[in-house]
Amino acid sequence: MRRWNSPSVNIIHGTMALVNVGLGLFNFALHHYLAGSFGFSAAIAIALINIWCAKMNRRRQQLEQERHRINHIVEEMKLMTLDEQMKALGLARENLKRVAASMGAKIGRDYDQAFVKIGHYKYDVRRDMIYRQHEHAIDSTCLQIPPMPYPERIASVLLLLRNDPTIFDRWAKHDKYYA
Amino acid sequence: MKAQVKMYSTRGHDVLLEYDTDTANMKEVNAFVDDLEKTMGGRTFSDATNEVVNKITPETGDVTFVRPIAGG
Repeated sequence: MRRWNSPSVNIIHGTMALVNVGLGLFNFALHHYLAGSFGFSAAIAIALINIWCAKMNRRRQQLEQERHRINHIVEEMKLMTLDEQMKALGLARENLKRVAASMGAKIGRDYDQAFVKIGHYKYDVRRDMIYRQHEHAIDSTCLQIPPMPYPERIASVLLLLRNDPTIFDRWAKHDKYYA
Repeated sequence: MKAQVKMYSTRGHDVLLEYDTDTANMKEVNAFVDDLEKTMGGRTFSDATNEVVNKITPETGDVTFVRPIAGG
């Protein structure tokens, strides 16, 4: 697996940025302003690339942790008896009620749908789809959450949307770093 | 009296923190929950009232932290 911001890469990037800053200063001292500004631009570009790499790496790590957790949930769900699954469903419904009440969301009669308004958008969260309405435009995106009681899934989506409404656009674009 | 901070799970809540309401430093308890909310993006609910808890006091009792599961 690629490690974009491992310590060795950081050292290489840092050295390159410092060399470029040095070259920029050297050229400025010689009144070669164009060459000097190229040096500074390169240093800034390297620094920005490093920041971007660090951000991507952090998101990748989050995703890996989340995948690990999801796999754990899937395994546990497989081991549940029907009785335990029904109990889990009841608990998930109660949880959805709490989350929805805290966000002013409305829940469908069978706990398989929730409506919430966040900012200018109205969201209709269903078992495996989300619809977003703004004036007369409706966008939709599908949901890929592991097999778990669907009220838990809907509550999870409500919380994710509350934390960051732009996550809808990332889902729609199939951004793999959605976590 | 003992109170707990639990993490919601349909497979049985996980106890994250247990404290004595008479002797515990509530600032530390609140800092713990704030940190959880910030890092995991979840919310904390009171088990007694089912409402969101912004600040835990000795009277709050047990609370359940609900964290979202990523999907897309």
